[in-house]
Amino acid sequence: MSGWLLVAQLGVMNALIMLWVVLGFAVTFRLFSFADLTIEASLPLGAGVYAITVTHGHSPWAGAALGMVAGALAGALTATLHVWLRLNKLLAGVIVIAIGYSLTLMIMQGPNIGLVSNASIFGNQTENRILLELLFIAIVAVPLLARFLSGRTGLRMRAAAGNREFAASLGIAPGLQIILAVAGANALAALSGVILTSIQGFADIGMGQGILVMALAALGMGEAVRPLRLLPSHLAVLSSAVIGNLIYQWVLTAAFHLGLPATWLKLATGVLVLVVVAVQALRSPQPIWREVLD
Amino acid sequence: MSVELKGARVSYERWGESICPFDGLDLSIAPGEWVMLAGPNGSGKTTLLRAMAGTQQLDRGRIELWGVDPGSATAAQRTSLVYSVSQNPLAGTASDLTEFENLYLADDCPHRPRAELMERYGAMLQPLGLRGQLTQRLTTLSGGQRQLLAIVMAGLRQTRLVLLDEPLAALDPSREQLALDCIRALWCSGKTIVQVTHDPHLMVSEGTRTLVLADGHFVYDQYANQRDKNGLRDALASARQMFS
Repeated sequence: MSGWLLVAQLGVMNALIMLWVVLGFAVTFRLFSFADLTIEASLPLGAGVYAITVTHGHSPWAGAALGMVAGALAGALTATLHVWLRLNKLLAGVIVIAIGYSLTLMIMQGPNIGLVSNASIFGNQTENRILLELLFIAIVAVPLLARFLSGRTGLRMRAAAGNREFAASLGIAPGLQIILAVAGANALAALSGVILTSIQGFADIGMGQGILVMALAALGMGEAVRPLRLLPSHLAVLSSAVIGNLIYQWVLTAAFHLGLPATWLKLATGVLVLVVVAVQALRSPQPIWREVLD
Repeated sequence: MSVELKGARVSYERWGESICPFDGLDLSIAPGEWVMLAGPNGSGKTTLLRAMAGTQQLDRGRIELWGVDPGSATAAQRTSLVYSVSQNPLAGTASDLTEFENLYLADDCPHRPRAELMERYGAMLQPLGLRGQLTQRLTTLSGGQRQLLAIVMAGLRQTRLVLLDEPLAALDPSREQLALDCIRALWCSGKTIVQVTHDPHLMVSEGTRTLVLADGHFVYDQYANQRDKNGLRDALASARQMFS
């Protein structure tokens, strides 16, 4: 396989692994107005719970389910701190990241766990086969997520996040809906951790570092694709996350292929976010630089 | 009775000052009444509506909607009894959702095919000129259009009591008439309505009963066949004097 074809395939693979964390972040950020930092904790927590379950000889599927539950609990804790204790959303996320870090270390009984000799949710399949399976899951699950968000339960969550007074007048408990929404998004983030751990054969405490900026970069790149804005809001958010994630992973894989040192990863992601934000600001009808110059 | 208040007292803190809009308030509203509630600013109209909606607890006395205390009722009980439309057009709808999605959420009987619901909601919005925006987010609508939508949504609720807090305040004269038609349709469908208004013309021309709240009690309480402009004008003038 030629170098660039490999880059394209590797980009798709990385995109399919990170799709869930980007989708979770995009949905909470754009549809539930909740800038949730918890994904930095729930991804390694999900990975850690999966790894420890598998190394103890249990089914990888049980590990994946438990990992997602752990991620959901981390998200629920952040949302609960915000809803019940009225803590700022960002602050609540930072606190749960700190708690999650120690908790993941405790669960993994160390900073990393190797899984090479253990069973995996993908069995002993080839990389190509895993890619096809992940693609199939995405093709089935993303439309289901879209259907959920435009169904009554999803709309109740979106209404609760957008207008608590209105939601309460319809008998919706806004706090509970927000907790469920953030918990669900973090279960998706944990799923990315589980898939990544299964494929790379180890879980590491540092897996979540930079995930937030990556999700932000991916979403920003997707939102820069203007035709997507014509879609209904939930479809626009989901398709921005899917397409942006794919573009981001391709750009990054291509950059590495061209010789970008791995240590530059976070810097490159940060610069990408800034470029996307700057392009959007410059394309706006009232650019910020005009306000400054005026 | 649909609404029964006995010796109701409400107080709350604002800027460190204790405010008691009414103490010992009595009121009975029969099922199917359309009550026009008037009174100067600060007389306690909105507080009274909040007490009826169960979002403002009484310090003393009791309030019942069809025999149920809305303050201690479960959310499901409360929402089956009462629905409120605020005077703020942005408060009664969800901005990030489309017209269809707002109506779908408010609809107590939504278990029909989506195409059928689109047709039904479209027919409801047609006279209001809002049918064309059925799949648009509410951020594209004006405040007045959103207020009309909030009133239409009240018609989709299976609640017996609808509380309208100055629902026409944000509307231009043509939309005001459309909103009044919607409210009349709500009343004709059998709902009990309590509507706050500052419009003296509406106080005598619409509804089945007019109440003027001032200084913690009703200074005017007349049914449609007994209302007269002079009596109402005097009551409003004395109410304003109490507050000046």
